[in-house]
Amino acid sequence: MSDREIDQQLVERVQRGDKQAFGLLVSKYQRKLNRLLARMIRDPAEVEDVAQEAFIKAYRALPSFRGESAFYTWLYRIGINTAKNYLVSKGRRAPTTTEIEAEDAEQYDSGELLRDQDTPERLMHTRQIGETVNAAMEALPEELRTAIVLREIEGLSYDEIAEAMGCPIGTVRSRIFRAREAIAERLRPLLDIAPDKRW
Amino acid sequence: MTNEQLSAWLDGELDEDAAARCVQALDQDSRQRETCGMYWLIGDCLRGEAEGGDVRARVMAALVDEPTVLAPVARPKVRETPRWMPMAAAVAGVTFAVWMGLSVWSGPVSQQQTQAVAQLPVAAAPVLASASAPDAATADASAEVLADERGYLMAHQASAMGAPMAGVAQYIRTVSVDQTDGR
Repeated sequence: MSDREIDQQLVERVQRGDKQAFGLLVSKYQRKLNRLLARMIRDPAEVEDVAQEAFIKAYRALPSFRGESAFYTWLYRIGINTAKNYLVSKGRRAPTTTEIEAEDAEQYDSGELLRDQDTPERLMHTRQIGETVNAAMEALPEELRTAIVLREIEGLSYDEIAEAMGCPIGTVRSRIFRAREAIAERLRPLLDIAPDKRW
Repeated sequence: MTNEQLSAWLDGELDEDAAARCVQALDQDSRQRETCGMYWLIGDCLRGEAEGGDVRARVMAALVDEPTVLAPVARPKVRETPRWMPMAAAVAGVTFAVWMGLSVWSGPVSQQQTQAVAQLPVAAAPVLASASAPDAATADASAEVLADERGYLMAHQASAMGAPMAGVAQYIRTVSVDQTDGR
């Protein structure tokens, strides 16, 4: 199954009344949407407000989503329109469509912009997460690190990774899982998921 | 569902059925949803895309007051019959009916007639031969014989051998004529 098919599977669950499935889509795309919105809205707190509004609009519009485009393209379009409306309501100029297109949204590197505008606490938290992931990666055995880099950064399939690493596909699956678990183990205390923020 | 299966699912490496089971399991297990979110965060961190706050909790809290989305589920596509098939079936049906009709009225009859002529005793031959002769007396005699035969066949139609032919003409039955005794 492709990434798009996974999204479509979740969308269909939501369309059958499963709100938790929508939570998974939010969890998956919230950071990407934040990055996109940060190109239009400079204040990170406002970015989060607009992102929340965009997700709620997307939830309300989901019955009409038929999967002709990828879910994330559709979501980004809603995000851009929500941001434009927000800026207009605040009397600020919204970027023209030529400045930001939903299809190109993933390519924008707005990380620097967000980092510039973030509060010190938020900035520190983001930095801590990054450093923890990096430290966990450093501590991984070579074969686990290679497997997860090929998957997450290079975007290779398990088949391609198995060929590149010269091992069975089951081993690739196991190595990627073990790498994720090792990193997640270090991240959990840092994220300190509060009971009210739990799923 | 194990976390290893979850990890494979979000990489798109499960088949459709296993993926559906995985999504169903996620609906019922909050810890696995948490793990799933964590795995996505790790991926975003590794790609340098992890900036921005977590809005999931806020969105989910706001959705509590939202009416549940219920969209009509698209019916699975039924494989359509090619449009030419009904037309081809109609043409085939008509062709078959015509062929059956022709074979009953022309083909087999003429064969029977040919065979009958060949097998006729010499005494009966003048009857058929006279039919082709332009002689008035023989023509009258021939017409009389044919009228007799037709009357006999009509009277004994019900007891003739052979089943009616379905779909063509139910009244058609096969009969044989024995000309040796003049009937």
